[in-house]
Amino acid sequence: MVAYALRRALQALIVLVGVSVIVFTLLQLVPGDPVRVALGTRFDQGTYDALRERSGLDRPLIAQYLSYLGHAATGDLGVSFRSGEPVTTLLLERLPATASLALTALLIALLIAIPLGVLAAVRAGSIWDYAATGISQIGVSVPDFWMGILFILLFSSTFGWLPPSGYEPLFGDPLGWVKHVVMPAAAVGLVSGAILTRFVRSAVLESLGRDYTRTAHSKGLRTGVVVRRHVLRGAMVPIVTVTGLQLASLLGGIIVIEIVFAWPGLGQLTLDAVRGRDYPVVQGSVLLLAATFLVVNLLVDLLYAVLDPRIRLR
Amino acid sequence: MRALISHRFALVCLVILAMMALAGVFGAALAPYGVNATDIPGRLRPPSLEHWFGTDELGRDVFSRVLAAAGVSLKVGLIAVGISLFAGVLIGLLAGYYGRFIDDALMRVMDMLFAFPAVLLAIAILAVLGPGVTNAMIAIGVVYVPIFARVTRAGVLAVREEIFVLAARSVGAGDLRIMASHVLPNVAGPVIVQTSLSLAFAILSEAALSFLGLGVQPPAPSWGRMLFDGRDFVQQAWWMGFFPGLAIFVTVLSFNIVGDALRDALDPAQRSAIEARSSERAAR
Amino acid sequence: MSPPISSQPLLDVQGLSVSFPTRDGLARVVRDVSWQVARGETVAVVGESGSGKSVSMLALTGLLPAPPARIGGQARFDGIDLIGADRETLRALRGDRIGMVFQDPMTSLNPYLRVGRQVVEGLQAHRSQSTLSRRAAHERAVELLAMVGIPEPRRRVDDYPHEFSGGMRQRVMIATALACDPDLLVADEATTALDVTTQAQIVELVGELQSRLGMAVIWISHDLGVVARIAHRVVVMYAGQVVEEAPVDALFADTRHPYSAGLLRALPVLEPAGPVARTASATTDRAELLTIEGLPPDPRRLPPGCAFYPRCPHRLDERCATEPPPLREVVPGHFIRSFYSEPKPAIDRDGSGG
Repeated sequence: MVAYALRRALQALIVLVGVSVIVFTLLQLVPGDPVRVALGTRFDQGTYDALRERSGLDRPLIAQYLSYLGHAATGDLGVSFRSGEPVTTLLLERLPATASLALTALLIALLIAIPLGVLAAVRAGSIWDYAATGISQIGVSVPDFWMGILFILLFSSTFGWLPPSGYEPLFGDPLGWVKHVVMPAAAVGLVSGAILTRFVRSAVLESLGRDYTRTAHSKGLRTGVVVRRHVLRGAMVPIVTVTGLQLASLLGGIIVIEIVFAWPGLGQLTLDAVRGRDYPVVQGSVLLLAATFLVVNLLVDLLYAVLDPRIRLR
Repeated sequence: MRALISHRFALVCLVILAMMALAGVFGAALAPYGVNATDIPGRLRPPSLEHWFGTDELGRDVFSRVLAAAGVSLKVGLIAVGISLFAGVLIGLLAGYYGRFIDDALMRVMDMLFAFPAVLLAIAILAVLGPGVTNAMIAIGVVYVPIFARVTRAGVLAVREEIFVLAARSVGAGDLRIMASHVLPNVAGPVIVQTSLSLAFAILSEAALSFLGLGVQPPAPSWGRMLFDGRDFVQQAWWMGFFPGLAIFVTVLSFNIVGDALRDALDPAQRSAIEARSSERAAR
Repeated sequence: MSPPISSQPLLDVQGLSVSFPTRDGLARVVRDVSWQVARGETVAVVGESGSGKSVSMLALTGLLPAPPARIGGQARFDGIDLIGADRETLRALRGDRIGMVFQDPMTSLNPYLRVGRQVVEGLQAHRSQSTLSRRAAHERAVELLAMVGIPEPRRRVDDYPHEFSGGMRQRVMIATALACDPDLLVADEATTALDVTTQAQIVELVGELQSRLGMAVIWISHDLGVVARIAHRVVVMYAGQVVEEAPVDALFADTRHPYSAGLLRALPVLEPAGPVARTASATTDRAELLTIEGLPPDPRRLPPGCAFYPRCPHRLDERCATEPPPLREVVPGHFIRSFYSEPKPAIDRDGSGG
């Protein structure tokens, strides 16, 4: 178990280092002098030199990367070209908004996908199955930002139930947070949920066809017990796997949906940084989001050990 | 039963895609109004017989713009997937055929690219290259290279052993010839299926990037950008955002359904994505 | 080994048929099958894979989804109608009065649950919580594991299936099937996936448990060698029909149907007198096919006459090809479905044309 966890952690770490190389290289690929480009019309030699030195851009490439990596490891991601504030501070300011939105969206996705996927599999070939498959196909194809706009149209403009945009912190104003989070989280969550439904269905279908499911029926267990105790248990590993992988598209959806709903999270921060050519912020936020995705999938790997006794004892 | 229904759907979708392609090629000519013809007094008009999809904040005909944008979307999608297809198949072939160090090195890079959420990677690439249609194609193309590389490599690995027997027999056949005549046909099925599904993703990504202002630049029409403008006028003019979104949805849905039907037809042995993914993880 | 005498059979199957609609027509997998099992009796149902032996049992116990399967005929278990029964009636019988063991112990146990729990969950389903406490269920699990010969049952009860060998897993399966003291144990190819030594141990265990607990056993197998050691009576199935039925000694000593004779010839060691004592039962379907040439007929396109006609070494005339032979009693208690009858070894030749 410990060896398994260590091996997975090491693999994730290697990929993370690779990701940091890619993120670091991006900055080198910017045509021209990024500091100069970033300063644009605000250019003056003093600011330029100071920024360049603080960003370490006057040193050799390898040294730059190693020091970037070293600093990143201690939580120092450099300073914003725009505001001069530490990138880490900027990211941490935005993190709660994005994290609370992403987790809510994930929750909505799972609340849709698991019951619907199980129903579709258990009643394979029935009207429920066709409905779930159809909804899933639609979900894969619908742009979540369009869905968000349709929500605003319906629930803000027409019914006036929910605010069309904005944000309240979860721990500052819980009710306000709920009102604001419902639509963006539902837009992303419904789409992810529809995609996941398809995977849940096929995982459950596979588990239903297993010999142990027949054994469970042969013991005279009620169908509900067979499904909950045996079938779902067997389907859990693939379901957890795709949920972890689905997080990538969910995070992608969050970035865009933040713009639709003026949700002050990492997506907005990143996009503003891209538009303003604030490269350290772009780097930091891309690194943070990619690292989050990796860490979540590392956790998924570790969760296998909890779910599957065969891995636990290896 | 299921197969029959999905085939009928797939046919309908092919017709829709053909119409989209026609709109893409002749869109500007078919459009009842000029794509950028403004009409300030007639701005924000709801859908009517003259303006089927209404008019936008500058009085431009939304229907004409949706029609004209079909071409941009399809072009970005096709070229982006073309880039992924070419690079991905090449990398997959090299990795699968030569194995060992080359395989390790190439596939590890692919793993790293795969570690980014797709939209995020595209945004990061556009941050470097700068916004624009061409760069958006490149960015989307790069994002989907790993999928094609993996699909191709899997197909190559399946035949490699047989191929070496063949190669030993046919003295003098070079690697290139073996790849072209024996390996490629074996991977064609899965790659074709992946192409159709990737077109759907690519069009969705282009719309997202244009929505964020990183793809197609105004005043050129694009579904994503029209949606962005529509968001600001959602209270006064729902049609500005509704119809471009519908166009994206229908196009992407069509590619997805055609892709699924192709999978059924060409690649029946292909394991469900879920199995492939979980076993892949277990193997790591 | 003589079957206990009982007036009413425990399981009485009359004219059972099972078919599946397919794209190429109806697949008739079980056709008009009748047999009985008395209390405490062991009946072996023998045939190649696809002969309908497993499907009949799945159909009788409600484990075959219908639809798509179409099930006809009559079957009574201790007077309870099985064919017309609703799901709930069948569920109440399964695991409680009918225990089942399946072919592959590697896949038949749920890898995610502790074996003790799997052994007694049937018991928990059939006995209310008030009469069976958690602790009592746990104790019963230990007891059952001990009964099927698992060493250190108190320690092993909380282990997972992958921590057991194939043979031990099959013992766990048997413990599971016996948890509620069933009247009938159905063993569906229960030894097929095991190696020869383990097979012998499992067969011995089932025989011993049967004489101790007094339940009836239906032993489904394609392996006559194993059958010889455990059965009181043998039902041979081919292409969804019963082709020969006889007490076990009679079947081995006085084989009448050409198909049964072919199956017997496929056994590597054969002692003509009485049940085969020690047979290396490594026979596989493939080995049988080597002896009996050809393949069983497609259940969607059955021959008009005798189903065995295309492969029969003794086929006689037009009659065999066009007229389906009825099941006839050649000796009291010995039935065959053939116009031809194998000669009785050494002594006399039974009338051939029928």
